Amino acid sequence: PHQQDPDEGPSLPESVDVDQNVIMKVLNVAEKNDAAKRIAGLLSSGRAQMRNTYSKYNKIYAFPHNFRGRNCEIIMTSVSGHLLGYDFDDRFRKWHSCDPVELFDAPVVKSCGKDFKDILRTLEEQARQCNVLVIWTDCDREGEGIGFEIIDVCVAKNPRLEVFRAKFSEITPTSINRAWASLGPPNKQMSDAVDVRSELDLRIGAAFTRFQTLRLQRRFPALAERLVSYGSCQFPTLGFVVERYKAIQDFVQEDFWKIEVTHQIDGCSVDFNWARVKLFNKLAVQILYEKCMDNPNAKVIRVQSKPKHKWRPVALDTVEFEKLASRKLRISAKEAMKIAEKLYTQGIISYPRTETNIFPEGLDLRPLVNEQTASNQWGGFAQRVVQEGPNPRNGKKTDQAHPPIHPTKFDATLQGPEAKIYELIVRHFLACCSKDAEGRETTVEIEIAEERFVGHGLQVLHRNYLEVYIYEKWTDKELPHFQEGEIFRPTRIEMVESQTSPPNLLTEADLIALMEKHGIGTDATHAEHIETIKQRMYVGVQEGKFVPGQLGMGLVEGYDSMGFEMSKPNLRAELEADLKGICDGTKNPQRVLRDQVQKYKQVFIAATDQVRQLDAAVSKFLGAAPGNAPPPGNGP
Amino acid sequence: MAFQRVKKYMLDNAYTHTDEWLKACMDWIESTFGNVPDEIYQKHVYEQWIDANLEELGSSCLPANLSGQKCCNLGGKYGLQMNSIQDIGESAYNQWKKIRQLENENINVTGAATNTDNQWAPKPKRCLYLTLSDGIQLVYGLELTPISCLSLNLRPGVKILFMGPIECRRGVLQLRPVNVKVIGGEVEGIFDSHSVEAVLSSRLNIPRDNIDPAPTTTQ
Ligand SMILES: [Mg+2]
Repeated sequence: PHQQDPDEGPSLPESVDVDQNVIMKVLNVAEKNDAAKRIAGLLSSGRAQMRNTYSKYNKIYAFPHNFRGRNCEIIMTSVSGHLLGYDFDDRFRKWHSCDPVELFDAPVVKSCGKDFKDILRTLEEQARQCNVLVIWTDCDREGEGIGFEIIDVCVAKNPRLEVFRAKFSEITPTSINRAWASLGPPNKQMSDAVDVRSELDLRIGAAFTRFQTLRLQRRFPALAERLVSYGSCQFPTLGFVVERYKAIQDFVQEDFWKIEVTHQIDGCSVDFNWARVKLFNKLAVQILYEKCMDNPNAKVIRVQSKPKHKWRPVALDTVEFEKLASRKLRISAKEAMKIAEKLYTQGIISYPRTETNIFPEGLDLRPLVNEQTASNQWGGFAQRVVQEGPNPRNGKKTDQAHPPIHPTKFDATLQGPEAKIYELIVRHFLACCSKDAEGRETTVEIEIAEERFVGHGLQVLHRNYLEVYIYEKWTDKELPHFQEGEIFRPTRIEMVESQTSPPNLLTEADLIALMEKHGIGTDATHAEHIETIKQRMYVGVQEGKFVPGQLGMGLVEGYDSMGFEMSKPNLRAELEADLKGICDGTKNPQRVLRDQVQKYKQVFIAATDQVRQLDAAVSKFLGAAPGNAPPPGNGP
Repeated sequence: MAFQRVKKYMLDNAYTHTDEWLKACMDWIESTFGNVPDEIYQKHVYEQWIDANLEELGSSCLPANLSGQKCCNLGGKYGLQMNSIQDIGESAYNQWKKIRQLENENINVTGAATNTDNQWAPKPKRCLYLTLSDGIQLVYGLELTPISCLSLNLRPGVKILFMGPIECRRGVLQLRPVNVKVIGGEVEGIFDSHSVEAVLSSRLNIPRDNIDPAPTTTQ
């Protein structure tokens, strides 16, 4: 592994007085134990000593290492995600302690939950003995928030601590050593955005959840034991599912007609598509059909042959990864992210939460592709990519933080879903770095009694990326030879009746696409919001499609009938945009907090005024009174 | 005699009418404006005619029983009343949602990859279909190739001149740009019952009572 050049270490602020005789101690804190273990392993070249801490799941990894040109003692430990959380102070914490509307203004405190007290104790103890604190949490918004929780706890015990942030996108030797060599300051703006988000989620969620749970539990025996939660991301997500379900219910089916032409010759059959596609009037199609039948000869008007490319996939970002896993592997977004995080922590793939689909100029892809030549499945393909030079197809998005998701090393030991996810990421990466598939497409335009029809053939010439990207198909379609001006009598000309079909129920991939489009949640949280509405049984999943449950329908309809956009994405999308503004430094966090609390409070007050509408809508679906209309679908 | 000369003017222009109507119309002109020169008669008669409901006149000009004939050719000129117009190239439900502003683009959002494999395939196009009357006989007009003077904004009752040769199958006139000239006018009494929205609603069996008028759009 890479040996640290002492000159590369962070420069020493001159004001700090360093006693040359005392060995300096550097406390490092990662987001999870797995990450701490791996980072320590990489920095120490495997020489780190493990010790137990107060917390069963979080260890300390200690080793000597070079820091600012001096040999220091390095302590690496971890938290388990967020260490601190917001809650109301004691007077407001109980469900019946206050009118829920007070929760918009009630004082909140940030404190450490009892599950994390052991971790807190370890950190406090270590902070007292150390001179420097380095934050190694995930490099994203939540990670920055967690970082400041660690900083607050440690600096409270040792105000003289010097604080640094390590920036990395993958837990690999190069990346971790580079991070160590270029420590910088933590990002307060991002952490502020997390604080605002957490406080808003608490206030809005608690107020609406208490309000609707207490109300509905009282009215509906079926809900007596049930928590009817509200979240400002959950509800728009549920809203999309209900909206699609209703669009299907409201759909009016129609008949349409078209003319189909088929020609068989030399053992090859070609279907010609009517230039008018279809018409929604039987008589019109009938007369055009009769016209064709009066003179059923086809004249070839144009034969056109041109190169056709099938684009290789764009570099992989989180949203695309979740959609692919869901569509191609039938692994839910939530599960896929869990696996991806594990692979990341093991140093097998890069950080899986990224909005970037452009490989940065500075990232040398060749060694990454070269790693994959060891595979007996795609090794040959990787070898060719290495020879031809990786040429990634980039998208247009970048979060300036992490590169697109890519494998960082070859691993043949994975099993089950982990192996499948890894395979998807590797194949996507190799496909992205190779070449578009090439083919030749031929179209033949014919005319029968002045009606035009188009036939189509495809010859796949170079499969290129498709050889490794097993998730897409592109197949030859044979087309007999036609000559311009040629006249022939098609084997079959037929008038066909058909019907329009309703839209499809949403798949998880569709739902993620909708959340992304409307700015509900972030790429890091889409999967969790979807999971929540499933757990609350607001929606069910049937054959991979989302169907609203009775309660979900009732809640959305209830709020819709009050005329609020509670189940619509607008309110939450504004909130997300404000949070982005805080990160960019264009919005003031206190201001955002105040404005958003006001906005939601007003909606809340109006909702409590019209609560009967909610009762009415829910009773429509829960069948509170006998003989009600049958409930929709077979929801959960 | 003025009546014969004005009648000739009407026939030359294929302004379909009946003698009784023309006579009544000229009597009214005479009683209102006195005895006027032919051009003034023509001007007033034309203005009355374009807004008249030919179905109330009971006039006729088309060869009898066109819908009973599998295929025939129409020569000459026919001034017909368009009762309604619709686009049969797109589903009525989509068009109805557009008019009622119920369209929701979320319907088109998909998590599937964008597929460029079938770019070669023909795309649906506008295809206008007109319900026409000469006063007695109902026929249809089918937009065979794009005709720029026709649109869904034409008002029910507008008078349109059809110029042969036009192939007519089962009462459907197959129209190209050279066959069609919009004269103008409208019939107030059939606005609501023959509007584009009314036609769509009836195609969809959506009852129109209790429905607020569609939000007005800028057209
Ligand atoms: Mg994280």
